[in-house]
Amino acid sequence: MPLLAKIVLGCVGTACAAGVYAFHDGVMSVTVDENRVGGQHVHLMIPAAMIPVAARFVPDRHLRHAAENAAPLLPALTVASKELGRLADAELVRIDQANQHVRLATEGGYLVVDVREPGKNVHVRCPLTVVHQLAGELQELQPAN
Amino acid sequence: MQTWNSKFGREARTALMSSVLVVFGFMLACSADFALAKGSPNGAQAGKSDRWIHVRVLNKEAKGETVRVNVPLDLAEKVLPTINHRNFHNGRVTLGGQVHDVDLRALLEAVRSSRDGEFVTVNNNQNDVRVAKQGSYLVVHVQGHGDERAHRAHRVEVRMPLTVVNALLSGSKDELDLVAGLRALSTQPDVELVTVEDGHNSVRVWLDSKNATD
Repeated sequence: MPLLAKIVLGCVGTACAAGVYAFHDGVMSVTVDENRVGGQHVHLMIPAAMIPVAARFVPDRHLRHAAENAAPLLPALTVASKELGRLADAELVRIDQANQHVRLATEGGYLVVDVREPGKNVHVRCPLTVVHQLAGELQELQPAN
Repeated sequence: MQTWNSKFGREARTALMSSVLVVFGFMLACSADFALAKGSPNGAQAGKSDRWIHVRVLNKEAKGETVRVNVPLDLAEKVLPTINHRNFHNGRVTLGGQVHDVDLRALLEAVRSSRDGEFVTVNNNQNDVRVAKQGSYLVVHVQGHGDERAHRAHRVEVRMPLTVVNALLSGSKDELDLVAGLRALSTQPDVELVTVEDGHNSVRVWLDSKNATD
């Protein structure tokens, strides 16, 4: 019985520690709502610390393909994500047209993208540290010139 | 039995306290890390007044769109050198001779070395163009004539600090150093850089210390 108690407590402690570690970098959230019959409703919350870890399980060829496609943007994205983290929260881009709205902003260390149009709302919120880390890792996959 | 119970109780309590202490310590460390991570940007913004360049495009039609872009100069200054596209490399634009039959660099050199006052005035049926050096600013004024609905009637105002012009010309002969220009711009007071108005659209580019448009 004492051994079982220790095991349970150890498991609970480990689970708590893992939970705290998983969420200490924040959470990436993706929300897609289609307001029509049979429309999709996607609500994802992914611990930011898990994203770079998950990226390591993506087959190498897919990562290289992604890195090649994003190659021209990666240096700018790496620098921008780092610098934006240092600046005050701001609305970087806002486009309003009748019922359509697009917004790109930084909020508390997160990059926020909002797209609203009739029948569809998309909301993405990603920690800038994750954007920086992923851009840096993809950049490392680039063949050296 | 009592001995067993007390022994079990003591061990369970020890294990529980150990687990709680480990978890609590870990949470404390993580929360401190999180607070530091969140605190550093705020700390950076508190001690520094960032300069922002704003662009606002208003379409005056019924379902016209409004575009607002706010970019910190600091960010632009660091991102521009990472962009390499066509004649844009390392934050510099290679002019490669003339742009629309105008030697831009020679024109800017002429403006820089000239005295205060109006020095270019072009009046014709389509436009009135006036380029002047006023104090520490290069001022360009274009007034178009014609039907507003046909987009011909337009007004363009450009007001560029001369220190920025100097910085743009600080590179080699056939290029404009945009990064140096941005660096010079970041030392300038709030200024309305570009205003364009026609019957349908209004474009405004300005510099200030606010991180949002009005």
